[in-house]
Amino acid sequence: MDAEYYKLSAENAAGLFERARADYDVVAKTRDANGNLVYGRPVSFEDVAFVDEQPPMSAKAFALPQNETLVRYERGGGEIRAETPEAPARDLLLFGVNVCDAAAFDIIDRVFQWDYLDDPYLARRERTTQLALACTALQRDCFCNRISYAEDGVDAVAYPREGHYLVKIQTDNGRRLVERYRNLFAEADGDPETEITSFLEKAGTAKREPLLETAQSGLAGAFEHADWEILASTCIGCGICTYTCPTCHCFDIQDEGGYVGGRRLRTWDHCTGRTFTAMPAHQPRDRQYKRYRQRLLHKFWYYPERFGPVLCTGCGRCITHCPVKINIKELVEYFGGLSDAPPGGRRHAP
Amino acid sequence: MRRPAADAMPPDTEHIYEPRLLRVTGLAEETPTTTTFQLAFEDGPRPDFKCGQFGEFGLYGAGEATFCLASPPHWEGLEITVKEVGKVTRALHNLNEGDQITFRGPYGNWFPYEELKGKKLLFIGGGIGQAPLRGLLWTCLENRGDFEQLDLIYAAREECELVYERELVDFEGRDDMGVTLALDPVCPGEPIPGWRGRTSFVPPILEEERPSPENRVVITCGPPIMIKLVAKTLIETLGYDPAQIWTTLEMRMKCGLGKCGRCNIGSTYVCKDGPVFTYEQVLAFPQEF
Ligand SMILES: Cc1cc2nc3c(=O)[nH]c(=O)nc-3n(C[C@H](O)[C@H](O)[C@H](O)COP(=O)(O)OP(=O)(O)OC[C@H]3O[C@@H](n4cnc5c(N)ncnc54)[C@H](O)[C@@H]3O)c2cc1C
Ligand code: SF4
Ligand code: SF4
Ligand code: FES
Repeated sequence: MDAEYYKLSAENAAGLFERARADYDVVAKTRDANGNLVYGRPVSFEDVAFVDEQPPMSAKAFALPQNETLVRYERGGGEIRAETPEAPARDLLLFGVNVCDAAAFDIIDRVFQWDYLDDPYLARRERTTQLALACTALQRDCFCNRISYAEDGVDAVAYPREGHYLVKIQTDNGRRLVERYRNLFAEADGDPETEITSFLEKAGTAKREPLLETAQSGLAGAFEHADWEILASTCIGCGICTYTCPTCHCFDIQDEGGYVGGRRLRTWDHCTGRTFTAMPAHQPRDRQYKRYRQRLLHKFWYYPERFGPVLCTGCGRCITHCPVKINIKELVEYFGGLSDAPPGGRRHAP
Repeated sequence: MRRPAADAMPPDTEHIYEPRLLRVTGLAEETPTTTTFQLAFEDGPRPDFKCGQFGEFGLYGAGEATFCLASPPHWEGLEITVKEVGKVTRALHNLNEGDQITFRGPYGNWFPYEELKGKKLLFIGGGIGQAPLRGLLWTCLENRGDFEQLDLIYAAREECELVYERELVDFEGRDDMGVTLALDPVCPGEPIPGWRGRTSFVPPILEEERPSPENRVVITCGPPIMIKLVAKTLIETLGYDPAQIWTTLEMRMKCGLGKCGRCNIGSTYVCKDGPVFTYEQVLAFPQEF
């Protein structure tokens, strides 16, 4: 669909939140009991955190829970009874989430709906609407300005202006949200696209060349590059990057419980871990740098080759939270041939 | 040769991870650590499958594991041959006749039977790697007239690691196929007492027998190192085109559906685009296999 533009006053944003809570399961940034920023379910508009900062965990868990029951089983009388859990009962509204987090869903949808349809994921996903909030400034580790895809699939993006938000509707799903609460939205005046462009320029989030997508052909030739071993061996395989990442979607299937009863689960897993591909007689990724290389190449070569977009929104979490300061952006630039300087990691003052 | 299309065959369940329940109707001990399970579908008809495909089999409480469908489609039910190596395989080995296991599948692509017709087929199996070849081998024997020649080289580390021993004896007695059995040499050149077959790795057997590449297709499965050395010998010493060699690859798998991201080699999902590949395709992969 062609984009549509609306004005949402600050007052009406509060009204939207309150009214939406009756119709949706509303998720937004908020502070937990310890004051940490999280994606949660604030009960009042005052509890919603309108900040650029991202919660350490992305919003992916709302479509792909960290642990998800696939089947419950029970044994008795020599027979097995198994049942699948009910699909979610309510629509979900991601209210004021970071654009990079909202954008991730449309990217990972592709793997969950090519060939076999992943019913549990899609059941949640189909009930999800995103009203993302644009950041006012690029943060230290983010690089969404280097990835062209990051905003296209988001249902609606709100750009904060003086006393109101300029809301850009990009999908039919976003349009349904506006229609549902139409009296809260006013037609945008002036030239909204120009206004957005200057907003992005000021925030530092406008796209700039070279985009990291352009590294793909370079990466395809760099599989055997000798420097992988030097630059990626420091990875300790902790998996923090993959768990915090909004686009990492690899999972394991495990049983929890015992012989008598329990459940079969889908749980997040991480390719940087030693056991991810370990087999009884063979381990194709037998060194740590090969496991990190898989993570990077999956995102910037394999996934775009197969599905189109790069598997990254540039949220920067994997840079922020990596205990050994591995910097995926710099590594993509280096191995993809966009930069000659080998990355040195993030430097701290002595 | 073209590679066979990987077709989607959706299971008839609530969602794609919900397994069906199969009943164990028979057990055959192949080796001290390997057992063949005969399985019956009781909750509905058995799904169609093709030789080379696999499934996710499991036991509630232990989990799921990947096994190839080791019986030909024209046999009743389904058989799998399981080597005990870890959690799920150990739990399966504790089962008795009448117990139930979970099944999702059939998954993956298959051997291109129609393209093999009229050819000389050489099967080369190693250890438990005979399991993915078994269904095709029996299908070819059932339709022996479709093929110009049929040979099997089957190797294992030790005699007690040969699977389908009773079938091997049957094969050896047939005059419409050639059978070479081999055990890894403990001391090179020295015969193993009481062993009826050869004492050799597979590459020297190929170098000696020199099966010509003319109109021949080689279908091989075994430990990765065996597959690599067999292919090297066939290509470099005997002049085979890599596209004449078919193999089935084993990568760790969880979903079998092209979702969980575990089985990839480069942008190839082994569970969807494979597990059956020509060696030409294998050589084109990023060298991570
Ligand atoms: C397409 C395909 C077809 C197959 N067909 C067959 C077949 O016909 N017959 C057959 O017997 N097998 C087959 N396999 C192999 C089979 O899937 C595995 O042997 C099985 O999944 C092992 O499951 P498990 O739970 O018993 O082992 P697990 O308990 O998961 O462990 C298996 C091995 O993984 C390694 N491992 C596991 N956890 C760790 C850890 N924490 N740290 C280090 N290493 C670890 C160990 O080496 C261990 O022995 C096939 C595999 C594929 C992909
Ligand atoms: S790259 Fe960093 S965060 Fe990711 S697994 Fe390695 S050490 Fe952990
Ligand atoms: S790879 Fe890193 S920067 Fe990219 S989306 Fe994942 S966590 Fe964010
Ligand atoms: S086994 Fe899950 S993607 Fe192949």
